[in-house]
Amino acid sequence: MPKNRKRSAPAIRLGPVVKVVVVCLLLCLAGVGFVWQKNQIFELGQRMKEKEQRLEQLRVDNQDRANRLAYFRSTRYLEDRIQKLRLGLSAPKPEQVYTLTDQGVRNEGDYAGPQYWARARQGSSNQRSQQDSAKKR
Amino acid sequence: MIQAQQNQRLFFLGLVLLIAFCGLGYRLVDLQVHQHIQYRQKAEINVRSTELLMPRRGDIFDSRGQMLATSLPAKTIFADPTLIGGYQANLAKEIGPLIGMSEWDLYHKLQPKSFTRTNTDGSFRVVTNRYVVLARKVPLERWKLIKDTMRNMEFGDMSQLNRKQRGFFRNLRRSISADTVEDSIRIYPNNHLGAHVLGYTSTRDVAVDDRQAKEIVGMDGIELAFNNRLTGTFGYRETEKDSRRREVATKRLKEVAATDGLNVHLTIDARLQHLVEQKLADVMDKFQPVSATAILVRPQTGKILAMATLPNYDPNRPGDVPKGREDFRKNRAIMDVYEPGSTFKIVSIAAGVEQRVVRWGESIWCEKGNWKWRNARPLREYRGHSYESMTMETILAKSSNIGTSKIAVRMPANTFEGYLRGFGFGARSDIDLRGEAKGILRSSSRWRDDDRTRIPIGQGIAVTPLQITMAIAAIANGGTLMRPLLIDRLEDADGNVVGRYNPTPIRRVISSETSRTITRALMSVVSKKGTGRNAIMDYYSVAGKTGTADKAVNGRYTNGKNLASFIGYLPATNPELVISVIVNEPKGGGSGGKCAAPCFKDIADTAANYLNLQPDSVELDSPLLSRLQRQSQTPFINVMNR
Repeated sequence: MPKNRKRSAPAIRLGPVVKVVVVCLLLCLAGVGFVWQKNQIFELGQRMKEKEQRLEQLRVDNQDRANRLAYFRSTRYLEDRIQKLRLGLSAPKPEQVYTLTDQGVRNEGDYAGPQYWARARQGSSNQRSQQDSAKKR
Repeated sequence: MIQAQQNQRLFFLGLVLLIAFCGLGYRLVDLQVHQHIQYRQKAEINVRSTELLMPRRGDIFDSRGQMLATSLPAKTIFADPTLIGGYQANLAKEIGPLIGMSEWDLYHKLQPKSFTRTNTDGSFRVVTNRYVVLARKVPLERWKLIKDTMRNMEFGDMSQLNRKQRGFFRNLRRSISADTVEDSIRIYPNNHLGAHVLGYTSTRDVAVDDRQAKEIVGMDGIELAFNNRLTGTFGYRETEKDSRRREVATKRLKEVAATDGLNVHLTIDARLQHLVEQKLADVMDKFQPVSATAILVRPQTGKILAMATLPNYDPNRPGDVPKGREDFRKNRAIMDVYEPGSTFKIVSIAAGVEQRVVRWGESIWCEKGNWKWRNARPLREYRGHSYESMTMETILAKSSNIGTSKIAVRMPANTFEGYLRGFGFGARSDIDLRGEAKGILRSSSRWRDDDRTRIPIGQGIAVTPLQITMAIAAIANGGTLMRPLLIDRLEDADGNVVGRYNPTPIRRVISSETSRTITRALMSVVSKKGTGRNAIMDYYSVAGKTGTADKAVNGRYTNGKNLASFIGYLPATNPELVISVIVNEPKGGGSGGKCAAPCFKDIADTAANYLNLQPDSVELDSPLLSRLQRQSQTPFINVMNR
C-alpha cells in the first residue's frame, strides 16, 4: 500500500514560515526605522532650534557688551573714574605742550597716533633705501 | 425551524453591520473627500504659525568708531491679577525693586479690578483686568532676574497642599510674565553727549501682516532724519508647532530673514564733542546765559566735528526735562535764528572787497561816531565810540558800524543781497537734520534806507548759528561755500559701506584773493589791539570776529539782553578748523570778546592739540620760545609779532 505522503508530511513547513517571519521582521524593522528616523529628525530640529536660540542669545550678549564697552570708553566715564581713583591724570595744559613746527600733519583725520608714526617710519625707511640704492649706483 | 430563525437573525445582524459600515464609509468619504479642505485648513491653523522676525535698528557711531547709539532687545512686563489671589503684598515686596516701582504702587496695580464693557448689541458684561502693564522696555537681563525671583519665591509649606492648591501656586508664579510681542530699547551710552545731533526715539505699535509688533521710531536729530535707513525690514517665518506650542524646526515652510537697519557713521568726533560741551558748561556756570551754542567745522570739507547746545538733555530719558522747558530738546544750532550783529560784518566787508568798492589800506571816514545816510535813522558806534578815519583792517578790528555800513552802501542793494544769498543766508544749509530754519533775509527790493545801513552790521537779518559758521568757513576755505556734512558713511550690519557722503562744494562766493585779504583783516581782530584779544593763541594765528548783538524784545532793542558771539578759524595762514561760540543772553550783558572769545580759545587750544594741527605762530616774548629754542634747533616757520 503506497504511503500517504499527506499524512506523513510535517504539520508546519519551514520554508513559508521563515519567509513570513523574514517579511514580518522586515516590516517591523522598516516601521521601527521609520519611527527612529522621524524621531531623529524631530530631535535634530530641536537641537537646531536650541543652537539658533543660543546664537541669538550670543548676539544679544555681544550687543550688550558693545554697549558697555562704549560706556566704559566714553570720555565722561573715564574722567569720572580718574577723579574717583585719584589717578591725577588730566589733559595737558597748553603750557605743558612743546609744540614743534617741523613735522606737522596736515591731512584731516591724521592724528599723532601709531599710524602716523608707522607712516613716518616707513617714509624714513623708504628714504634710507633710496639713499642706499643711490650709493650702490 | 430553529435554523431558519438563526439564519434570519444572522441576516439581520449582517444587514445592521453592513448599514453601519456603509454609514462609517460614507462618513469617512465625507470627512476625507468632501470636507477635506475645511478640515485641512483647521488642522493647519492648529499646527502652523507665522513668526515675525524683528530687524535690529542700526547703530550710530562717531568718526572714530565710538558707539553713540545702539539697540538692545527688551520686554514688556505685565501681570494677570486674577491669578494672584491674596498674595499682592508678597509679589510687590519681591518684584517692586526689580522693575523700579514702589511696593505700594505695585501692590495697587496687582489688585484685580472689575469694570463693565458694552457689547455690540448694547448689553453689558463685567470683565476683570487680566493684562496690567507693569514696566515697558525692560532689558532681558532684568527680565531674567524677575523670572528667577518669581520661580524661587517661597509661599510656605507646599507638601500639604491638594491638587487644586498646587495649581493655584503654579499659576501664581506665572502671574507676572513678559509680553510675547518683541520690543527693543534704544541706548545712548554717552548719555547727554551730542544729544541734539543724535536726537531721541519713541516706540510705536505696528501691524505687519495682521501681527502686532513694536518698532522704534526716531523723533529728532539723526534718529529722525535717518529713520528709514536705521530701521530695518521685518522678516517672517512660517513654521509648524507641536502640541506644546514648541516650534518644529524641521517643518519650516517659508523663511524670509529680517534685514537689519544700516549703521550711521557721523563726522562728529565724540572727544571734541565732549570738549565743546565741557567748555560750554563752564560758560553756562560763569555767565548763566539762556543757552550757549558751539560748532566746530573743517572748512575744506564742511565736516562738522562737534555741534553742541546747552542746556541739553539725556536722550535715554528725553522726557526728563524740567517742566515747561521743552526747549532743552531744541537744537539751537540749526533751529534758532538771531540777529548776528558784528560777526556779520565779515560777510559785508568780504562782499565789498570782492566788488572792489574798498581796497586794502583805503581810508574810510567814520563820521566821529554818528552818521546819517539818506532817510535812514542816524547810525552810531557801539558804546558811543567816535572813530575818525579807519582802514578796512581797523574797521574790523574795532568793529566799526559806520565803517562797515559805508562800505556796504557803496554796492547796489541787489548786488549786496546776491552776496548774502551766495553765502547761504535766507536758505537752509541742507544739513542732514530736520527742523532747520531758513533764517530771515528779505528781498532787497523791500529794503529801506534803514535796512541798507543796518543789514551790513547784522541787524534786520536773522541767521542760524550754522549758517553764519558755514559762511565764515567759506571765507576760510578760500571763498568756496561747502555743504555742512554730518554723515560720513552708511554701513550694513556686516560693515560693508553702503553709502558714502562726500564733501560737496555749493558755490564759489568770493575769490581766494578776497578770502586772503579778509583773513588778514580778521587776524588784526585777534590781536592785542582788537576786540578778540581774548582769543589769542600761543602757537596758532587766529582770524576771527567778535559779535555783541542787542536782542529785540517786542520790536525794540533792549539793553542787558544781548547775544555774545565769536567766530574764528585757525591757523589763519592755512585754516583747518572753524569754531563758532554763541552765548545767548549772558548775565550782566557780557560782550562777545568777554564771554565767547575765551571759550573759543579754550576749545581751540585743546582741539588743535588733539587734531595735531601744524602751528604757525608764536609770540616773540613767549617764555616757551626761549625754552624751545634751547631744546630744539628747529626754527618756527612764521614768527608773528602781534
